[in-house]
Amino acid sequence: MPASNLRHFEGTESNPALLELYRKSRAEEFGITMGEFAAILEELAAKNLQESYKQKYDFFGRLHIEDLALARACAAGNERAWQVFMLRFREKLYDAGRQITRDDATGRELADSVYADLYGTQTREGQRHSKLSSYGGRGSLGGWLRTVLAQEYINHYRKQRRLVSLDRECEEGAQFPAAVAEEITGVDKRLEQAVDEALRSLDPEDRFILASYFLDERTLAEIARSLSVHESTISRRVEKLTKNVRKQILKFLGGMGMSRREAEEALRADARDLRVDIRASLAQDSAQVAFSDREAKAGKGGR
Amino acid sequence: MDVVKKLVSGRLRAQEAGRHPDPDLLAAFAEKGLSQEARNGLLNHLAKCMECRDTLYLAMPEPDTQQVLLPSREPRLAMRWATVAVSVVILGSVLVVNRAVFSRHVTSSYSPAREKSQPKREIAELKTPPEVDQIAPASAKMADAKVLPPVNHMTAKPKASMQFDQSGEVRLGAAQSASRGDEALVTGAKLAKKDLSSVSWGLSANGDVQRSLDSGKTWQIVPVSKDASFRAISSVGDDIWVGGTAGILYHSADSGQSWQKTGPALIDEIVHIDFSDPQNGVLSTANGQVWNTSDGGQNWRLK
Repeated sequence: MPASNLRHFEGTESNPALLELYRKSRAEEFGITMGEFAAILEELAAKNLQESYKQKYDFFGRLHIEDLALARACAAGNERAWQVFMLRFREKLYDAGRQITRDDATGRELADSVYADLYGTQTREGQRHSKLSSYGGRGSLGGWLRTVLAQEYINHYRKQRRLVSLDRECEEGAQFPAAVAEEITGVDKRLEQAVDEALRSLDPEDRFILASYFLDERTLAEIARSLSVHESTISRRVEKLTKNVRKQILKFLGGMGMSRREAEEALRADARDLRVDIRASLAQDSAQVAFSDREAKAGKGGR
Repeated sequence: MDVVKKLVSGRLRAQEAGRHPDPDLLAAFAEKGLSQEARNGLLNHLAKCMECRDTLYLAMPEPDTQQVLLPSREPRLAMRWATVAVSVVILGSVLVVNRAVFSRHVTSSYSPAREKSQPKREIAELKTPPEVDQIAPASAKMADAKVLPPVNHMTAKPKASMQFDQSGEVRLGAAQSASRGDEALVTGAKLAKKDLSSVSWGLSANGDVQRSLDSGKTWQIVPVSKDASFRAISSVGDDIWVGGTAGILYHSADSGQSWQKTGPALIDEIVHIDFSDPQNGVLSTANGQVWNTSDGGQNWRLK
């Protein structure tokens, strides 16, 4: 399939900044014309709300432009681009698959399934649709591939888990459990409100650290790696955050008219009673919907 | 901590996560390629969404292919030591200047033994480095030099090492010389040979090589190659190595005044370089290959 099925963007051929990006991306090597290249960039700028000229070119300057041109050329079916892609990423895909699944055969299976999506086995409006066309160049293509593999593994794992547990229950002759009733915890609403307020007062990175450490029980080293800091930094921050959250909860409870003693008592009692609905959290809808900067900036979204 | 852990976990679980970010954004986050605003938006989502946190952690490369990160306390410690070192250098410079002025004063005012004092004056001039006279013109030249906006980064450390800062840039603190770090002069693009050891090196978020001559207050882009975007840098004295996309590796043996393309024939991005001395170094690529040299980069062996 020729690369010419890419959208064309008029009137940009004489822009020197764009020409420089075009040259740097090696897009021409993969049959992407200057107009098509400009259209890709304009599409990404629009998606990421980069409106002014300066914003746009700052944004373009930060893109992994070479990876972007390669991915889009592959998505458009350029043979030379596929050769380069295979040379650069084939082994990486298998390595990442093995690393994610911790098993050689499963890793290969996962990588093969993602590879099929990348190549585009499904057609949309008569055209083959490659997953590579959704790559936007903000992270490296290698990092994007690992993330796609991880997402695919999680989706696959969840599906398998549900099937296995149903099969096992059938084999064991177990009755299907009744629908789980809404959690009854008897948690003081004021306490919930105070915890929510305390969490809201933290910055997003602190909330991420707490969720990773408390909820997912990730190790300090894992959290540290995800934020590119040393694990002793995370250790200190967890300790500090825990103290801070407790202090904030007591403060908010105090603001709701509780005495210090009552607040301390409510905190102790409700923490004992608190039950967590693991089933509900495991049954999260795993449908993937694009998350743009619009939501990122607004700090919201809706699955 | 247990009480707070239970309360916080319960409330974090109960939060609505919203739309999932696309893999591009997650990959860019893992590679520190997002703006602060986009990063915070994503962290906000990650704090609420276990599935995306799982994806992020699964997609992280193995620890041995990542950069070694130092505790965050170290930059602060380094900053303190750097401050002390700079103070000592300034004090030393003032003493040297005063001594020189004093010597001249003594030699010119001691007229009865003028002939005898002439050798002393010569000795005093020999002991006083000529750069002392250039301090004032140098500051004027520094003001004329292109000044980049200040960035957060680590200051010079006793041994060159790589650090990530908040802006997503990489900085290398070169060995802080015991001589006059403050007297590093910019005369056009050339540097006085004896001041080279006080230069700090770094990479911008765009992958440009940067150099600072004033302990990191200002940074100047050093042109190396138009085609490359650099991801890793290492410096030992006058020898600088920079590597980046498509396995490109450049070496400068004269503190960045000239650059030669070098290294093994690589396709994958160079993500880490570390030279322990001008002869022995190691580099690793995005696909996990590790190469080392023991002859200053003339020959490379795959580990």
